[in-house]
Amino acid sequence: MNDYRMIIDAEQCVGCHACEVACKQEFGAPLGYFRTMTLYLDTGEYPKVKREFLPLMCRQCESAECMSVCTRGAMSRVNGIVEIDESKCDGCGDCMSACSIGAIYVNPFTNTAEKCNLCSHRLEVGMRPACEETCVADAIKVISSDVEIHSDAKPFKNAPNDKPRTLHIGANELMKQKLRAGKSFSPLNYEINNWAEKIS
Amino acid sequence: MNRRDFIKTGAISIAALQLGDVISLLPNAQANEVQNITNFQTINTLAKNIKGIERIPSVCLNCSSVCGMNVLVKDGEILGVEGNPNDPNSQGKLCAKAHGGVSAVNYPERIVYPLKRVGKRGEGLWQRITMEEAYEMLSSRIKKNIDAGKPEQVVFHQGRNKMGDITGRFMDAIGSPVILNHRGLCSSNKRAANYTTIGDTSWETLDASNCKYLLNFGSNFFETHQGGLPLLKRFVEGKRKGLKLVTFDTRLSNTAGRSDEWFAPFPSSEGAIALAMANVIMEKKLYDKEFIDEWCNTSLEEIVEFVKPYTPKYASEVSGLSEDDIKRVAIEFAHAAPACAAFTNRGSQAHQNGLNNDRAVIILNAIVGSIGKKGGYAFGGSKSKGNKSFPMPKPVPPKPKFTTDLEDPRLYPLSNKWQKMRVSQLAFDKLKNKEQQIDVYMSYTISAPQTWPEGPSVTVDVLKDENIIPFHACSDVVYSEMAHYADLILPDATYFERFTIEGRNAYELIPYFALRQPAVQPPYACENFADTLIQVAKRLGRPVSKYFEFDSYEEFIKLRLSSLPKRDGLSGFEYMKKHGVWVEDKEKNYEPYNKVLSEKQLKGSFVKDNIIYVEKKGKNKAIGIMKDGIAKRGLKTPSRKFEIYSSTIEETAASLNIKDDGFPHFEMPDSLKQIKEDELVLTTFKWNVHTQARTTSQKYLTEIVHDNPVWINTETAKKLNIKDGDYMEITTYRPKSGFRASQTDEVVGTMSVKAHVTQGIHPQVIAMSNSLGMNFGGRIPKAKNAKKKNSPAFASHEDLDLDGNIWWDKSLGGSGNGFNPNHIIPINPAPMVGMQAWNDTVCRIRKV
Repeated sequence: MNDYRMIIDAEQCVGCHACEVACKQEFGAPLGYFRTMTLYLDTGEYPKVKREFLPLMCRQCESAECMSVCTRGAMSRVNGIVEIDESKCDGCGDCMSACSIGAIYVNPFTNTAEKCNLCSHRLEVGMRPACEETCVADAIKVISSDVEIHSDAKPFKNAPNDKPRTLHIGANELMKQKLRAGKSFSPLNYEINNWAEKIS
Repeated sequence: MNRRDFIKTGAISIAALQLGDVISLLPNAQANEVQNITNFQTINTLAKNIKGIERIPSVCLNCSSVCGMNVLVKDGEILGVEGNPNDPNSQGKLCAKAHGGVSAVNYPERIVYPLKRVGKRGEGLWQRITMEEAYEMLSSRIKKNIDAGKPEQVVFHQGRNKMGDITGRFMDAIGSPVILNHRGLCSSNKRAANYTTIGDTSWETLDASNCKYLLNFGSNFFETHQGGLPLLKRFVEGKRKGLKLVTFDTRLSNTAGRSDEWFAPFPSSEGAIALAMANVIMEKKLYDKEFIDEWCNTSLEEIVEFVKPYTPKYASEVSGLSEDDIKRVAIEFAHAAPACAAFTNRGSQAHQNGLNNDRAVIILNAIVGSIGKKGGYAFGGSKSKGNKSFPMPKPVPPKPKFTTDLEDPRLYPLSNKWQKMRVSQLAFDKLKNKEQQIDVYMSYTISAPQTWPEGPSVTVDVLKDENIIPFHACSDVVYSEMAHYADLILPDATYFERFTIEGRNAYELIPYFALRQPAVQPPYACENFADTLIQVAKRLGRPVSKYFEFDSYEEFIKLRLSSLPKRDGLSGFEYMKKHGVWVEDKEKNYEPYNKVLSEKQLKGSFVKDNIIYVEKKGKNKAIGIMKDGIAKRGLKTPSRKFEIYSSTIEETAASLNIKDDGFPHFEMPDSLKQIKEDELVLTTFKWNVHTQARTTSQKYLTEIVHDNPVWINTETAKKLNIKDGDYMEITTYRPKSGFRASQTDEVVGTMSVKAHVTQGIHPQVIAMSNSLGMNFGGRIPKAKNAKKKNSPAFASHEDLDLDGNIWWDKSLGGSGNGFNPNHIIPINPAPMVGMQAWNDTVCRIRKV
């Protein structure tokens, strides 16, 4: 029995998208649907402008909302990971609606819910998750419970009751502008006109 | 039925189609839709097959960084890739392009049979033929030119070829020197600057993991840069130890956006900034006296004299940066010496004055003594074992003893001085003006209509004209911008299906090389272009065929690697197939110039004016320099020292009647010097998920970047009443000096494009990426959802994503497939070297 959790260092991320493409290739994910997405955010005014990145995926929450709303018993926690049992899922989308960041989607080809499961199939055989393995900046780490966690690592919450087990270092709160509670990650986050901070 | 069975079945059903039927490959062509599609999205994923997956060590080629990868294969099918941890450059890491490239293998619109043009060129009508017919077509056409005593009428145009060993052999064997490439569009000023100063490898190899301060003049190594991923990996390590990055770029690239400081200088002013920094360093006496005295070809006093006019005030005026910033950064940089480096790329070098910009930047390393040092501007001796390190199978054909102006332009004498950089952006113009006759044009891994300046106009005009290019054979994986204008399309193997000896400048500073090998065999009639050439050569008869007495490119590679010593009981070839990488047993190569020459190296040498020479083929070749009575390697420049003053430049300039005293003075290109208040500078850039023209068919990459609105500064846009997403019209002008110079605002072209209003760009600059706005290549590059067309040109299988999930398709309200900026960017080679001045284009814009 392991107790895996993910630590993401947004300060180290170089925004290269390798993790996302490796992830989509791993699962053959359809276009427009994302287990993980690296968000871009431009802040500041010329000439003092910065670009920030945030790799975001299912945070494997404690008392996860998605798990509690599933009426088919298709979701369970295994080794600290919230897993979806494809054979029980009927693609109703309740779990997707329950997620405050949009980390779950229903695959239109299989009609089952899909999300990041820390590549448990890889962990089982002693490999690293696809995203972590390829990350040139070592910005993503899946650790076991006995590893010490950096004191700057904080939960990235988008709803008051969120209890993420995944922790982020240096995540900009403004990234939340790019999320839609109850709806899957929007592909439109990739369009450059959506990179900059939205000023209301 | 699993996907593999499906492909096999598909192959059978395709084979039943008749040879000779006319096929239209135009994007809007009518054709029957494929029936009974198998949804392979959900079948063989890597996730479901990770246990017992087979790993084939190979090398990526989705960009020129050539990172080591393991191809992950199950039952003969490629399911993914992972970094090869044995590769000393990429150290087990890969970028998005490497993962995205997997989709090239089973791309539904991959060309899998040889096709012969019917109808007019560029009409898009084709007939499927056999490979035997294809060999015959190409060889008979080439033979006609050999027999006529005009082998130079056969032209080979390559992009990211990497099989120069066989393509060069082929051209030598037929006797034609006319090999065109794309270096003049890429990096030739940068290369020339390194050759004139350090006299060594064309790309410096920064020791970033040990570096404390990086001054980056126009490199976007977070996203592109040859060797970008290996550099980025070491940068990240350096940053953890406190490395500071300062970037000068007109646009907020990912590199600029993550730098400790970003400065946006006026385009082409990088050299002035660097010289002003040198001025500050000299004035504050922060230089490395010992290095200057020992290893620079100019004295301390001469350097002080040279940089005197380039004050921070002057640099501030031409660049728009503040004097204080220039002074402060110069001082910080010098204090970090020798663990500091100043380096360059497209931002500084793709200007008419790019050679001197880059030389000025490199000089900063010399005056603070970071050349070749740990944590500094390392280079040389680290050069990988590559194509030239292994003997060619004998007999080796002799090189042609002449050149033509097409590949060796007399007006640009430095273009081929150190390595073949050519000035290929001039080639189509020369053909159009009948300056040179050709008969056979063979294109490979190049997409000139897309990537050439004036590509959609001049290049396409020439490619379409059967009087100018009588015969065009194109080897390609998809129906590309280039293939559309061919007479014969040869279905190429992807880089997952072939061999190549590979290597890049070694970031560990220890020589290495790698082997690309097939993870699967090419499907259908697809064939590695190298093997096609071998077949063609055999049909050309003697003397050509006698240089090709091997069955395949695999055998050719095996013969070449037979010179390797046995390792772990395996022959060189078998060792490479097992491990993929060979690392030399050597120390890290710091300060290569300080290496003492061995007695063996000094055999037969003599010393003249302190320089050590050996006689080779009747010529004196410098091999080193005497230092306090010790024979050292020195730098590979004429003086064997770091050259601030360059006799090569002075002499070359004099031969062209250009006034130049051999020092890298700063002078702004005329177009930019004379820019008017209502004019802007159009620059170009690359994304982290695309190369120039060959990645848009890869769905997971194009999903991330498919559109390229023009970046324009918020304040500038406000003045012109342009809002984000508005269309604006860009009109560009010919340069005021150089090729086709015009003093009267002669228009190159006009195009209407979407605006991206952003804080992240210089107010007088607009930026538009290359790579997008494709006309051909299938549903992904075109951003058009559709049912698969039943075409005998293509592989039979389907990807259901391409019929409904292309969310950026305009018909679904998406942003579309972008724009190609090249029809408004003038052909503009910089003096002497011929590097395309991509970032010198003056334009006007208005809202439409």
